[in-house]
Amino acid sequence: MTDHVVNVRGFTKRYGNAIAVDRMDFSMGRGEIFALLGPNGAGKTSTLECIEGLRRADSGNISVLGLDPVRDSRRLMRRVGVQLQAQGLPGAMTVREALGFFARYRGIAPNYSAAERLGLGGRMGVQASSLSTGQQRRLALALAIQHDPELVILDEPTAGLDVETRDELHAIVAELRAGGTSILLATHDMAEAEKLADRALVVVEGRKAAEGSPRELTSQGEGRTRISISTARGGLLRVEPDFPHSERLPSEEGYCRYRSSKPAATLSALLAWLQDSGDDIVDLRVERPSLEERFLEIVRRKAS
Amino acid sequence: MNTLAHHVLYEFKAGLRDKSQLLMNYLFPLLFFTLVGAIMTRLDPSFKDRVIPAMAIFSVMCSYLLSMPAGLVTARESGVLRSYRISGVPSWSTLAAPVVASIGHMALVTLIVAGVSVAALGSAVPASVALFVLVWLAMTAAYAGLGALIAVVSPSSRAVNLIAQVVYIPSIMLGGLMMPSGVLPPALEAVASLLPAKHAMNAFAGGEGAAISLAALVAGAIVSFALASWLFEWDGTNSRAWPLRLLALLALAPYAVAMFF
Repeated sequence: MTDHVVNVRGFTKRYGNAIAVDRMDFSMGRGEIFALLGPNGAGKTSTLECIEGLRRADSGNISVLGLDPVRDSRRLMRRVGVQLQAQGLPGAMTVREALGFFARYRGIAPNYSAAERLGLGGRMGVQASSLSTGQQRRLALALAIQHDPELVILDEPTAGLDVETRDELHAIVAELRAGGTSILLATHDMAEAEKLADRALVVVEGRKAAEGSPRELTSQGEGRTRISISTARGGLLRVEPDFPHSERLPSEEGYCRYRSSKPAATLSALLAWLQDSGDDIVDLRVERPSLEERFLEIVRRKAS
Repeated sequence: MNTLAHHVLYEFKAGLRDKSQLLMNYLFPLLFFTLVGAIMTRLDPSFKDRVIPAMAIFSVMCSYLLSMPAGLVTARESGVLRSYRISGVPSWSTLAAPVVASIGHMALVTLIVAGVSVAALGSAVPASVALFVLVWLAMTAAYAGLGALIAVVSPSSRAVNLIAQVVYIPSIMLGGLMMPSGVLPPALEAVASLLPAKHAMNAFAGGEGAAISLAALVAGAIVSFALASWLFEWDGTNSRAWPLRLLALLALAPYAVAMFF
């Protein structure tokens, strides 16, 4: 039994002369949510498609649950669930028929409770073409998990969904993980990755740019904390003083803004300045760098 | 019921739910049959002897050349085939299920055509129903194979109908459906001999060359399905190189060979 559900070593994928993925290495542990992050054209989809067995790697080695995703695709079918980014279903197929249809090909009995759990209980007789985008996403997820797979691969699962539906799907993903399912997640939504993922891999121009937990990734960057402050008399806005270990950013909507590499020292000096000037705090916000900021930093650095 | 049977049953139901399939499988061939039956039997009284096989071939062409390939290409472009693949649906069953489901629709249409022709147009019941069914199955398989092959080699849903028309229109004009192929000039008769329609009309008529035509239809079906399975692509964009796709023309080889017998 392997410790890794997905193990990628020296994986390269080419399309003609263009190299989509170049000697990629990463592995994903059992029971974790692993996020694959990257700008458009970074090689995420090529990587996922090779892991899903939809395409062959040109060189290197990919193993999924210890098996070859192309050669052993039949064996993996029952152990892996995939939600494609653009998951087409025959428009005339009802939700109930879709669950039955794909379950039979996987060699299992249809699991209608997966759809009920995803809020499709009342839509079982509705044809796929009549479902809303959110419902189609839910159905795609139901189809991916109805056979209780060890590994679920989700490609942009919440793209184009409203906030409420996205939150519900996040809760289901967290529930799956709590049940021991490993989840490989490709997303453009950094907040989603930060919220859900145990570890993330940033891919830029087909190469690994960074890897680690969202917290590790954010702390590896410039790591500067953002401080925004609004005061009663607006003294900071008028005087625009500088404070130690910080860089002043343009003011915005009545807030004076700083980016600090040592927030404790900056805040102490700022509070002392306010006390000396007789001003008072209306609102003070201290924000650590987000994964999105770190992601942009990595992408820009690679691009330059 | 096994998995393929469920798939076929779904495709059959989808054929009744989908308006465009309903149009191509039932409405269009039956409307055409009504018009042609009313007009052609007045212009050419001998047409009533050809109307049953001619309209059976016409209906099968509507389904397998105009409806099924477009459906398969649309499914490929919209990611349905990729969904099939990640769920373990084999390529052969992706091709076979709509083919088999359409046989049900075509059998129904042929029964209606035959019944109305005998009752209203005075056509004779085929002398050997068993032989008629055998030729019908071979002709249906030949067109189903060609339809599957057209779907597989077509680069897009816009191109699929154009490619299908390359077989469909000559089949109607030259295949002996509207007029006996013996009246064609030799050059056009040679072109007609490359079409399953001419061989199907030959085989339905019986007599000289019927067995060879039947064999050509069966061989054409086998070659077409074999090529379609080999050239099959799951991807939304058909990435097969054109020289490989042109190998699809080999599906006409059995009909070309039959010309020399």
